[in-house]
Amino acid sequence: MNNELVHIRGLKTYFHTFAGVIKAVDGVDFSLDQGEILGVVGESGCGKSVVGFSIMGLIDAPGRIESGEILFNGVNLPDLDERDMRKVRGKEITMIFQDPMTSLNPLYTIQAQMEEVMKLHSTMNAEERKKRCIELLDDVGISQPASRLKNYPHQFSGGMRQRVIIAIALASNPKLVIADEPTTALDVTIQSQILKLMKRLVREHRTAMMLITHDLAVVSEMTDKIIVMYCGRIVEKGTRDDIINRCRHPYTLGLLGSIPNLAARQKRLNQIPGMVPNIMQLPSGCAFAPRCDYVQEKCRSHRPELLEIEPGHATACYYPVERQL
Amino acid sequence: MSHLLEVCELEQRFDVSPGFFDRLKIKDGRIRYQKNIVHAVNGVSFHIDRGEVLGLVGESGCGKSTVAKTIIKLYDPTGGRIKVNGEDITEYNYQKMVPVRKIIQVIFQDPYASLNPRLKVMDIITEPMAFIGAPISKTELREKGMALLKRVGLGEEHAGRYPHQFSGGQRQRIGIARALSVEPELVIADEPVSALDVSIQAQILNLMMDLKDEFGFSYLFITHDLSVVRHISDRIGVMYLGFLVETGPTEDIFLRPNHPYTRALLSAAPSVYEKLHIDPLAITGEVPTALEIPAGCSFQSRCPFAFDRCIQQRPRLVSREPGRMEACHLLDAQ
Repeated sequence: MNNELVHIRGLKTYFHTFAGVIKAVDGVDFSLDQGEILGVVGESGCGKSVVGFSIMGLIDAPGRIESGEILFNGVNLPDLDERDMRKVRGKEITMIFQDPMTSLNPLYTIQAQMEEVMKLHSTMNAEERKKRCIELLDDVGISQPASRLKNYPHQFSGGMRQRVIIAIALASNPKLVIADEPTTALDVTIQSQILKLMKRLVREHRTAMMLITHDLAVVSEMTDKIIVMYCGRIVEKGTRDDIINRCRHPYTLGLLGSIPNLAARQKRLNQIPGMVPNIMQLPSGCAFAPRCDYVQEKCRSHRPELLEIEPGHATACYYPVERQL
Repeated sequence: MSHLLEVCELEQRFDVSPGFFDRLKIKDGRIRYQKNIVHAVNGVSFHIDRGEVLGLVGESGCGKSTVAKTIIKLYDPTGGRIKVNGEDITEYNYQKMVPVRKIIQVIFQDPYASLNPRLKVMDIITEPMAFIGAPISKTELREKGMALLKRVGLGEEHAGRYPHQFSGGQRQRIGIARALSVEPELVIADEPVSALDVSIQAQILNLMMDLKDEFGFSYLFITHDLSVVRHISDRIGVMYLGFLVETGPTEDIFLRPNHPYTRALLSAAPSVYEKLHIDPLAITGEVPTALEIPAGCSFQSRCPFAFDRCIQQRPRLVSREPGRMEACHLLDAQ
């Protein structure tokens, strides 16, 4: 437990709907060290966002954390009651959401929204808070920050709003920032500005970050470690290099092959056939078996466990692929 | 021979002025009647030949979708000419556009909004065939519809279902089948894969390329995703703030972008694989509003190389080497 910040063991988050139980997250284990950037990738509906919400304690009925531990600095978060959780949420762990257009309150000024965090989690007085706001806005690259404090969100563009949200997320010097698709709604040139900014700030403040996204290209440029999820389970995890250059799970390989290469032209993309199965009717064996090119009898009847194949690199597959990209 | 599609100096403006009283502004002691005009497309010219794929790239709000919608006359252009097979369709009314719709078809971005929820798949696919007025019997329509369904990877059992029973990728397949039903010569694809998951995106892109090879039509492919554009198009046009800033063969542009904006755009694109071998250029700031376009170059506010002439004079799209065109004063100076 030297510098391990988050340790998640057997996390299961289920949603009990009238149609049946949706196992959005079904047994997820991973850990995150201080100052580390972890990428969580997968297609829509794979449960990657629910992992983030589970850590934040933002799972509402009919959802519930069924079992598992979320150890944050040695404290199991699901055990905390709402009052104690509030001391963690927004102070120790903060979140950046996808849509910069809706995650700020349109009725309050930027200053009011930034100060809210400081009022709740620090003992700063009004003057100190204002100074800190200016400092933070300057840090995220908003020009003439002092004059913009009294502005309302609609006076900012999408990229600017995302910068403000990042400033708010960093206002309390958190230990962990969960960024859920932070740049999906932004344009390419703005996206690269925001990503560079996030990486710089996270490194400077020695904050750990969980970057949840569907974009493998973004993850490959930002992260130290990557988790690939499929149908509520982790199918592969390892360092950035393990996943991008030496992936062993057929799904990861398929995902990487699906992305057109920017630097070289190819004739056809390596597509994954079929589509993501209905999460309520998952196949009994490996969830990826119906779409897998390397499927064998055992895959259809038995569900593979996530096993380490080399130090730090684990995959949930009976027949890990050897092929290099 | 004339080009399949030729667009000359296309211009599209939208009046977004508020109501009469809101428009009255007092300025310098006088009442002024102010109009708000969005300059969506400002003099864009390009052409597409048979069997060619032209990719149109740019950030949101650069006017790339407006170009598409103006070409098929969903908007009436405020200026410029549109020619299809040499025929000037700029002034055509709804009735006269009907035969043109057989030549140009569109695949839209959002497969959830572009299909009529009250029609069955078979009706959705065969509707354009019936609409263009060719004499065709019901059984023939059905047969053709079935063949199309199969071609885009759906089964006969899907013909009687409604759009809501399908996933995003399947719906996009239906949209493609519908567009191809009248055997068009040009298919305009407006961000056809950006609403889809990565693995489905690859399936649809492969399907679109196979169909193109099979039927030999052309694409005007509009996207913001540079890796997709690289994969699919023969030539690309880069748009910024309603202007076309650079055009040329895809490979050339990706190897050697000339316009500073193209360079910035290409260096900003994240990549799983190795980075592009270009001189990277990081730009700051954001796209300015299209309500007031600058007198000089559209990119001047963000360009690190901007000089006097860029502020005073608007650069024209000129060719400096065969096949390539750029609108940039900097390239004249060099």
